[in-house]
Order: sequence, then C-alpha cells, then structure tokens
Amino acid sequence: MKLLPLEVWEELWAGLEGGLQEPLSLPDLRWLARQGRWACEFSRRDEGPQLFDLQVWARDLNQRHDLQLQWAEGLPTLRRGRPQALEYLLLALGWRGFAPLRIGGDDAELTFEAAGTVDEESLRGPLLAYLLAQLGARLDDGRLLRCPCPAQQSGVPVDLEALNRSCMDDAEFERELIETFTAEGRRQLASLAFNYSSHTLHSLKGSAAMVGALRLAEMLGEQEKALQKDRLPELEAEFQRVVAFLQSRVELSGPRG
Amino acid sequence: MSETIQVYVVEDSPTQALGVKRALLQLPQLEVTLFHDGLEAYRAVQRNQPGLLLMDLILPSLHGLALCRLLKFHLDYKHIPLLIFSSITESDIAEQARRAGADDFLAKPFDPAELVERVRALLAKVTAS
Repeated sequence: MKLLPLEVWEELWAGLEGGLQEPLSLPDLRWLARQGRWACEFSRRDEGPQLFDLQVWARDLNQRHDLQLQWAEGLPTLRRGRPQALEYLLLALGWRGFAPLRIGGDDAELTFEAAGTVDEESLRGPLLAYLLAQLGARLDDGRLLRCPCPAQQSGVPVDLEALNRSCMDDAEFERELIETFTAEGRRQLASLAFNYSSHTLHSLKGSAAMVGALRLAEMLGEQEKALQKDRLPELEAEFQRVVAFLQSRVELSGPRG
Repeated sequence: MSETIQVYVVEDSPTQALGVKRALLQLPQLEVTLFHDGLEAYRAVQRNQPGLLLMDLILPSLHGLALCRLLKFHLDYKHIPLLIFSSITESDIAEQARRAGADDFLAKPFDPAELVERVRALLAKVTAS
C-alpha cells in the first residue's frame, strides 16, 4: 500500500492550527471563512498511522463534530463524517497560508485569494501540496488557490448510506460483498479491454450501485449506451478509487470475526 | 413449523446475487438457489419447480423477458410467482416485464427491505389463492 510520506504526517500531526468547520452549504462556508472563527483538534488513532480523528467546530456555533480521516492507497478518504470535509481541510490549510483570505468563485469552483503578503513557505508545505494534487486544486501566482466544489469532486467515491442500506448494517456481509465486488469488477474491466460490450457494462453498473459507488454506476450507465472504448481508462481509474475506499473499510473493520 | 419454500434467483452478477440472497435470509422459510444463466435456470425449473422465481433481465444464454415468457405461457409453470428486477432505464421496462407475464417488477438499485416486502406480498398472494 502506498503511504503518505512521513513529512506529510508530521506536518498534519504537528502543524494544523488554522481551523476546520463541519461541512455546510457553500454560502455557509463562505460566511464562516469570512469570520475566520473556526477551530479543530486532531488526534492520532492508536490502531495505525493512517487514521486521524478530528473534532471540528465553529467557535460561534459552539457545536463540535467528529470526523475521521484515513489515507489508503494514496487517497485521502473520510472514514466517518461528511465527504466535503476534505475540501474543508484544504480550506483550513489555505487559511494558514493566505490569512487574511477572501473567498470567491462560483458553484463550480471556490477561489481563495490572499489579501496580504503570502507566506510562501507555509503555503507550500508537503501536506498542502499533497492535498492540492489529490483534490485537483491549484495555485496561481502564489496568490490564488482554486478548488473544485464538492458537487464536482467528492472526496469519497462511495455513498455510505447506500452501502449500509445494501448491507443491512451487517459488517461481516459488507466485507463479503466488497470482496465479491472487487473480484467481479477486476474481471469485468479486464474483459472490457477485449470486448467493450454493453452487457458487461450493464452488469457492472448494477454491482457498483449495490456497493454505493454511484458515480461509477453513472459512468458505466453512460458507456452502456455510448460504447466509447477510449473511456475505459476513466472507468478503471474510478473503479480503483472505489476499491481503495472500500478496502480501507475492510481493513478498518479488523480481522474476520 | 412452516414449510420451506424453494426460491430460484437468476442473476449473472455475483455481487448482486449475493445481495439478493442476503436480503432473502430475512425470510427464514426460504431456501435460495442461485443461477447465473437464463437457460440453466429454465432447465432447473423443468427438473424441479420452485415456489418463487426472482430474476434479472440481462442474462447470458437467454434474455430475462424470454425466460419469463417461456415460464408464464407454459401451463405447467405459469403458477410460479415471478419477480423481475433490473437496472434498465427504459421508461416502459416495467410494463414490458408485466406484458411478458411477470407478477412484479423492481427497479435496481433497490432497498433490500423493499425486495423482502415484495417477496412477502407475492408469497401471501400464492397462499391466499
């Protein structure tokens, strides 16, 4: 498994003081960002170095929320909490580098702009660089941070509510379903490389929906009609994201009972 | 003690077959047998009639609608309650399933609780008749 470089962990562990707010709507986020009154606390879980518990809150609201972040297969994923949290984490990190910060953009993209002098060093720390790469955000002239909005790019490729519904909250069955889906998906994608058939795309679409991989199911549904074989790498990439996320759940649930 | 009811599930995707089988475990009187192929399921029905048949539409060897017609237009098998589930998005797919003789249709992805309810209702109808 590809792990996050040590210096990134150290930065995450030691350096975060900026603030993180429980994901709200985009207008709420902008309002809170303007207020600059967020706070967060991180703690490392005993079970392993890839897990972080977060408590986040807006000071004005005085209401704390628990999140849990995990890195697996090189992807930051939200183990518990709402998927937009990764974007908020990025925002919190951006706050450190950009403060005071102006937030603009539209529903497709958030823009963070430093109003004063930018501290290049804090701006380009390894964790920020890593998250920039993972979330598709970018820096422009050392002043702007553009980040796709959650609706365009969610941090979590699986709808956990849908997965839990399919598994009827049975952890052992969830493990079995994930293993079956992983094996089936790998086999189906390998077969698509030779025979890009609507039958195979349709079959995998249904399975993806069953494990809550709704974006993957949507992509497969589109391809079932369009049959554009040059889109296969996109399907494979999304499948890998889904599997990385699902496997992290299996690992977290511990040894088979 | 209630009698065991044989249920045939015809689903070519192992993931989805597993999900259906797990949902049906909530009804303890059911004994579930899985088939991954329409023709294989038809031959199994010829050998031993189940008390209920649940099936997907897109299947290897024999399309689900064809399998449904084969069973529902046959005097020996038409009484077997049959539910079709599918993720085909054509607007009239449920109607096509009913015209082929299906007793019920469920769009995928479905809530397992919904599947269990539909199965219960089909079995109750059989018992009542």
